[in-house]
Amino acid sequence: MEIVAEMPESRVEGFLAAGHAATITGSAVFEPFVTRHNIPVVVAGFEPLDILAGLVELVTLVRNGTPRVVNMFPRCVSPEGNLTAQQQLWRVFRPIGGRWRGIAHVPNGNLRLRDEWAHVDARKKFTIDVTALWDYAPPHLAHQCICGDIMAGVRNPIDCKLFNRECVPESPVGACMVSNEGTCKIWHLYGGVPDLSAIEVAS
Amino acid sequence: MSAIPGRVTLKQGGGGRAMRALIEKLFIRDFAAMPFDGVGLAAMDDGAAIPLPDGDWLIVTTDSHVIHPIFFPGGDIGRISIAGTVNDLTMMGATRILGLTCGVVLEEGFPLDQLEAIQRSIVATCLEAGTVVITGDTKVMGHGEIDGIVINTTGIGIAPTPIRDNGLRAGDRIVVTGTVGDHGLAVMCARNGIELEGDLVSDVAPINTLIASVLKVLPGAITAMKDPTRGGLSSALHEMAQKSGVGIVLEERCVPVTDAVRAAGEVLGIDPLHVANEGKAVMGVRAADAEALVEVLRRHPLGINAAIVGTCITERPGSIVLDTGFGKRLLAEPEGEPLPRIC
Repeated sequence: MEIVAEMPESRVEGFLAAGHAATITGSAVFEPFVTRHNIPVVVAGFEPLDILAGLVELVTLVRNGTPRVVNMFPRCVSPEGNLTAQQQLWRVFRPIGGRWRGIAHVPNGNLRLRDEWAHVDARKKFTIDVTALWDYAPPHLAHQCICGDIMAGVRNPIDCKLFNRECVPESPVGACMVSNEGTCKIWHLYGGVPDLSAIEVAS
Repeated sequence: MSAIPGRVTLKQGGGGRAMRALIEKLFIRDFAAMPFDGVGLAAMDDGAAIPLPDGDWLIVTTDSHVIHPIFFPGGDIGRISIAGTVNDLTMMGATRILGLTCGVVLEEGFPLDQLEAIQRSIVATCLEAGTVVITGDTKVMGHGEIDGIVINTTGIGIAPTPIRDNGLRAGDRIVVTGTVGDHGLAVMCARNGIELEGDLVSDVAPINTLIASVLKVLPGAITAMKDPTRGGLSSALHEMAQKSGVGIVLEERCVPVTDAVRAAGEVLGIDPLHVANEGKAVMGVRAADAEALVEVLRRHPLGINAAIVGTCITERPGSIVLDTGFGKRLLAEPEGEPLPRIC
């Protein structure tokens, strides 16, 4: 979020924060971000009505120019989050910087197992060429991928030459086509933004 | 991403597009070109139909069953092995099951008491379906060469007319015989040790007597039928719509879902429309017969939650338009095992 907000070409005016992550972290974790960037953050759930309610709140905050954190998912998310889970998390992991495909190197953006857990750390047990995994897609395709712009909200998947051609869920080029929450995967699965308004069922 | 070129992937057994592609490319092509008088492999239906001299059709189907855990809330691998094959025959219109075969492959060291429990379950499910295992096969493989137990069952039955999965016509109503998502979410929660309040149990059951009750009263009312197993209602409807060349409008608010399944689905981020059912059918029904048919279904203990959930249209052939009550969107076709939401 910090990096997307700081991208010079970014047009992001507000963030819908993911409800499951916020269930653990708490909604207060977004306060410093809002203070720093003056961009509102609304924590929302995942059901269609949750998303709609989150969007309504976010649009209102943007329109009124009142950036703050609003929790629209209070049935799961509290300001402080799940403290037991947080304790366990930090007992096992430590933050570390890492490269995020399509975005940048993100300081403290990844988690790594602490040394006490080295005996179950796949990175230590096996020889893995991590840099080779970064560039899983052929280089001539990877450099055409516009993942970063899509995440920054400046371009749409249909603006990408690779979308639904070389880049499909079975062989994704960029991160946006990998996860079910990736913008390109969603456009691929749901047919972009189809106009279904004309479809009526005679009853 | 994890696919190694030149090797089979789990996705190719997941019931979605990747599996259909493998089957079409590798298993079907040669046989589709060979002469066969009936509904054969090329139809990729729930089973094969062979015309008999007296006008009836012999229906044959086969299914291999692996499941983790092998005992789950509401059933076990034995019950699913019988119900799965009985239901595939039923979907082709063969509600009178002549008999089943049962082949069991076991891992050395498999607990005998569990095997006995599975056998008791097989017998009980056969009694429910009014059928019997008539021949079988047993193999034992070395420890580690196979994971626990695999059961293959083949079934044969008689249908006056085979019911296909490609017979939907614009105007047909879509009927489900009960709540959706029960099996998939019950097994997923059991597999991952997720304990939720409420009754999350698999719906696994042979439904031949349920469908027989409808075929007896309203013969010819059903234009197409499928059991929404892997990939759930969404996958079954997509396949039926694509094969029939129609679109389907699915009314989300009409689809019966238990509170327990809805809650588990919301927590895990898994759509109950995308996970397996093992005791349900989805069917296309002539509009004029739809309400009467639902009435008949509801008189049977396995059909009390039957409902009309959608309508076939000429627009958007092969697609499912989901009407959520406050908007419409295209329903995604599931691919591979559904994974819990991560963020």
